[in-house]
Amino acid sequence: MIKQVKDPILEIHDLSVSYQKKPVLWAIDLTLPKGVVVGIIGPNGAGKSTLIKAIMGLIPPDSGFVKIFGESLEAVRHKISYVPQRESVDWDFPASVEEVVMMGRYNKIGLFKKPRKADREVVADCLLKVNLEAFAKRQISQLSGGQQQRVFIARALAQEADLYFMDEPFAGVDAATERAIVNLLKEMTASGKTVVVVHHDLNSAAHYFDWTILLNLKLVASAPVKEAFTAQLLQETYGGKLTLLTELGEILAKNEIPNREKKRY
Amino acid sequence: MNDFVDFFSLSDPNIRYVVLGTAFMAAGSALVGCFTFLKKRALVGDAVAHAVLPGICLSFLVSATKNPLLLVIGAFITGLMAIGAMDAIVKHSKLKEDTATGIVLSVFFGIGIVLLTVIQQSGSASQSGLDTFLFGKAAAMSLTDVWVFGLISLLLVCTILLTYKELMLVVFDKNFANAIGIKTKRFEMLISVITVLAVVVGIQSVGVVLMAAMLITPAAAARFWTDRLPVMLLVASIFGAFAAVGGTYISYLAPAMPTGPWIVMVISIMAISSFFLAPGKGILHRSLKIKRYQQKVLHENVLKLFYKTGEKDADFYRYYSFEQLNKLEEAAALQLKKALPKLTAQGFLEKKKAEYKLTQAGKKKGQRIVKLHRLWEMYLTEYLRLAPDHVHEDAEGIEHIITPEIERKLEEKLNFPTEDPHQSNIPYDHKN
Repeated sequence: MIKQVKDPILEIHDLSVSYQKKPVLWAIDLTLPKGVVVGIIGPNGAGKSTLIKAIMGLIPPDSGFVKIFGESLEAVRHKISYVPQRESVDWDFPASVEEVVMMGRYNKIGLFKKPRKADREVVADCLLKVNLEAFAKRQISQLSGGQQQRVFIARALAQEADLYFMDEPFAGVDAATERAIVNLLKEMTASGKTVVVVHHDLNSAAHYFDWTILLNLKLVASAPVKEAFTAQLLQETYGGKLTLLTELGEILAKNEIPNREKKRY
Repeated sequence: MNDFVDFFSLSDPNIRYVVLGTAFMAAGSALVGCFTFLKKRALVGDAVAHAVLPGICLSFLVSATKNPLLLVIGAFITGLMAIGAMDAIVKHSKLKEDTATGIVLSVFFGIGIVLLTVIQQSGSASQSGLDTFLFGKAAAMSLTDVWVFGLISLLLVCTILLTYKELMLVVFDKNFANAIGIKTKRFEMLISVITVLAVVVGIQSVGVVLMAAMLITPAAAARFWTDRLPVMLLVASIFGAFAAVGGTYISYLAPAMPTGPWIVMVISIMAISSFFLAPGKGILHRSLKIKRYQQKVLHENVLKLFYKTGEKDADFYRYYSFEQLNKLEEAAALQLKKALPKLTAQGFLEKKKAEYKLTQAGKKKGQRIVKLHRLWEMYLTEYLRLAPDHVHEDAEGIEHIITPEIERKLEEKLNFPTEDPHQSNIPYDHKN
């Protein structure tokens, strides 16, 4: 069930990605519509984070290309925002909440320059949106897991982008924070933004997302939730272990064979 | 005292050069070190410091002079090569960063020592004084050295001030930096370059062997005092400069003493003191906090003992002697001898001859602890479904940390129960 859309906000064409020579994604091909919350769903090790990292250009693909707003990534970087996994940074770093959120403004501020008043106001505004205004001066290690996650989301909001990629924003987050984040995502799409979220809880997925990408090394489905959440497609995502792809991947990794013969990148 | 005045008036031009030179050097390398420290690459600085030795020797062999600028260039080249080698090893082999660092350090340093021996045996070592690069010799600094090193340090400071926000982001969250289009490779290269520059400047006074200390120790010490990066940078450079001046002063008083090792000694003492004394994170502050809490627990337990004994005897204000109290089963773990005089001094107990009784304030406090204990037992049996004989131990700890807000919530949640799971009365204030 792979539904293609007209005038997609994101187009992924034949994207294959390896991680240390081991193929993690096989020929992903999909398009996403504007103004929806998209959930990337699949079991552990399905390549969910790898997919958004490849879209953001953080991992070089073996083959294929990504077009965002119909253009190349570099041309539209300022319109895209990224929330990495919370555990990917050291929260003991000597920085305050507002300093981290300010990082979302860095590409707008420019090299060698200091944050302007307008940037500080955007930061304050974003902290308000995630209910962290009282914590602005707090050192980031003194926050709870849910608060740290909201700091990252505020930083992404500060980018004032049109397309957001969030890697596991609900991981290690309390129920109240999870609800608050979901509401925020819905508000964002209501104002025309598009949000792509990596998520691994099937139960909540149907309520949270308008569109889902079912992923397990290969693309199983990309469609509105109701059409993608069929017993058969879910079984295909979570049930079978795709032993053939896994086995082949291991052979490629062991012998250090490149996945594609000629690199187009 | 005369020495002190002579030294710190900086009237002797030689002293002036040495003091200014080492202070610039130490402040510069402390600044750079903050980023290496936060990047968790402390040992990289050590490897680079050792790897500049072959560069110094080579440029001496080629030019046959001890021109500081040429030596700096030679040192810079092999230092940068060392970083390149470490990155290449990690990227193209299965070896991890620590192993790569170890290999690069020893190989480069080994080559450096071989070259140094060659130079020494050629007979020109004595006039070249290259061996001072091993342990540093600040006292030998000339005006030219101070100029060259002062300028390089200034360059380091300006670079860090200009690129501060990008450096901070790249060190904190490289993925995000990449995602917003910052060329992180360039900034990582910049960190490598300024690390090598700091090392090149520093070895003149502290030598290749101890240089890593000048990079990392000020940063580690400063981290104890602050949670803000700008403050940390400032504190680290002040610590570094202070240690440089201090070390230079010591070696001025005792001319047989080498300057570099003394600078490192001073900064190490500062780091160790920070480790113990810094507010919040220091060991002393933390152990004081624990001590204070233990004392609070002891005092509350003694007042609780008085209250519960009074409950049994149906008289809260009866006098008890130390021996009487000490016999009680609940007093077994209590340091009564220590607590009784303290509580008397605080006005919670009253002493007559050798006997003590509760004051009104003391009774109120003891009663609150008993109430919290019994309320918590109720909470555990009702909400956590624990058996009544499993709740006492837990309540012994919790009774001391319940805040008035939680106390109120507990009362409301449990709807002001009058008896605990063991049918003891729960004493409320308003009933008296």
